[in-house]
Amino acid sequence: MNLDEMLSQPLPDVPDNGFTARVITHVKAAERRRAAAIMIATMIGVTILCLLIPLPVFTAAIGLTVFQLGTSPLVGWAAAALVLTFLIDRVLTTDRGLLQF
Amino acid sequence: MVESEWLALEAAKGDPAAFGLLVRQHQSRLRGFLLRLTKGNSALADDLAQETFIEGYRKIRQFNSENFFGWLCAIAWSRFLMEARKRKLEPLDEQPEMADDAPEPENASLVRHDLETAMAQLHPMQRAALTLCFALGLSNEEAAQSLNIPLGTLKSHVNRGRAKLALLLGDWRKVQVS
Repeated sequence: MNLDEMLSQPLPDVPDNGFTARVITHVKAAERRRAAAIMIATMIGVTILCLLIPLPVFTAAIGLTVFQLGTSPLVGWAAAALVLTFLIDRVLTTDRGLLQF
Repeated sequence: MVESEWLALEAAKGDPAAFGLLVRQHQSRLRGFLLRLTKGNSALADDLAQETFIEGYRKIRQFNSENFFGWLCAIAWSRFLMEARKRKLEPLDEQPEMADDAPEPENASLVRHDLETAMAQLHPMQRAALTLCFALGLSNEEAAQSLNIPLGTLKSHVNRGRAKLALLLGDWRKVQVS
């Protein structure tokens, strides 16, 4: 047997003996640790944001905007125009017999 | 695309069962490779193999080469280098001393024993290059990629390793004859 033939012999087979199961157990544990770390980081981030963001100011601003929209004559006219357009469209479509159920 | 690469893509999509199949498929050859690198230290070889697979799973989305086993060997080689530096198991810039006991090659198992003993005298890079190119059947390009060295450097390590092995095994044969 020459040197190249010796070198080209496949390496001896190493029996599994639970190696694969151990690796998969470690992989799953590592995945769980990673998921837990991401969750904890997210919770900490959200908590910090909640503490820093002035939520009452935002809530008050949103409430004021909604109230202003509701009492605005321009918004009222725009909504009325939309409803009128829709009704006219329905009437015209029905008159032409285009709706066939 | 061969089965391993397809399984690697499935594992990258988050299928742990596919990764389990990959581990089962490659554990023997990878552990054999590391066993040779660690000069037969099976506990260390198994630890390194386990770390290699875990790192492989973590980086599976980065896998983009054509040879999954070659990619694993690259991780295993870097793990081995880190461990060798950390433990100072094997100075990478020095050659170990010759073994005193010279076994007589009478049959296949003794020939293998001779080879492993001679392999242990080589520089780790030469051992890795010869193992990848011959015993594990990687192409020169794949082996160079796994060891993160240029192709010319790999060929140089292979040639020097072969020459030294020929010398070591030749000496032992002479001992047997005399």
